[in-house]
Amino acid sequence: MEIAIFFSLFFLIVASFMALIRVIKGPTAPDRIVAIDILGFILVNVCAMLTVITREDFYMSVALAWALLSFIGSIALAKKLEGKEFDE
Amino acid sequence: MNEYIGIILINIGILFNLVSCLGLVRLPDVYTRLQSSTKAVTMGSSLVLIGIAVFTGMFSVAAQSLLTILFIFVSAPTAAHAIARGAHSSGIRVERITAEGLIGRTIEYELLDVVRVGEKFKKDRFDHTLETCPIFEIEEPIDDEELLERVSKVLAPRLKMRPRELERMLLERENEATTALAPEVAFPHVIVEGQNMFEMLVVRAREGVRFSEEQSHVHAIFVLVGTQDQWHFYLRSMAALATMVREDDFLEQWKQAEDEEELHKILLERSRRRHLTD
Repeated sequence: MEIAIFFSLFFLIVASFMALIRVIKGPTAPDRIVAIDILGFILVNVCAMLTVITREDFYMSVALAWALLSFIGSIALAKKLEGKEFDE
Repeated sequence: MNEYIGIILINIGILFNLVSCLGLVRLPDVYTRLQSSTKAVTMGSSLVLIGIAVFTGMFSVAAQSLLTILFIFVSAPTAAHAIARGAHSSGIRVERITAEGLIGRTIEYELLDVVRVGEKFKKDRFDHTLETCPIFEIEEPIDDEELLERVSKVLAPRLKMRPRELERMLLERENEATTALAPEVAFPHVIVEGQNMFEMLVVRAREGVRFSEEQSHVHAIFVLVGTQDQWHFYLRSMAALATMVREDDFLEQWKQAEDEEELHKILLERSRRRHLTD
């Protein structure tokens, strides 16, 4: 059981590194924004996995808050990309 | 038992996440990356969260994971749509991905092909020549001799000739009678020795090329070189080009085009119109 949890965390880290590669390589701004969006989702999953490891339920709250924040972040960046300001 | 079901669900979800990140790294442009990653991540995250709820069996965890799933289902497509919209309005183009050998050409060509099929006409040899002919630009003002010298350097290897020889033949033809047939358009052309060869080269001169004293500067130059046995196609190409450049807005569009790709596009679109009016 512990091996299965270890592997799932390992693959999540591999996935987040793949997203990071795209953040670094670019080549355009939208590419980076997509990658950051996905990185946010992967980190939500990592937070949720911490619940399994520690058996503490507050990590789920962290995951929920993180999902909310990363959504707002992506929307703001996408707005900026369109050439609008944040309050439009 | 619950733990086993939970861990299986979690691992399936993480597989989805991994595949979506693989798509993020491997696919060619923003739009394909978006479409591979956001959908798979939505599915993967939901599976992981359900798996965690099943694994722990705690009510608070289950409730919060359901809330998170609900939120992800709403937010992920919204964010993806906003990013795609932003990418589109900031001028990112769609990469052509259907055929590896054709990378560098954009979706517009593909649309043009679709239109061709839709209107039921076949590409003829002239269309093919237009698609493959080299186009180059000349920024500075030059005269006709220098133009022909540059043109010969490009065309001679394709015709298995020496550049000097081709240049001499083109100049001779030019001196017999000027090839600047229409205002601002010239068709330098010559018949060469050999068999089964036909080459076309298009030049766009921003500052214009001076062909003779009394005429206006030439901005569009179509160089045609063929062998004797291609005589028929040679004449047909010239006629087709003449029809295309005679249209009123051709020169305007030609001068305003930004790069070689756009010039290609103008020629192909004109050619299509020529087919429709035939």
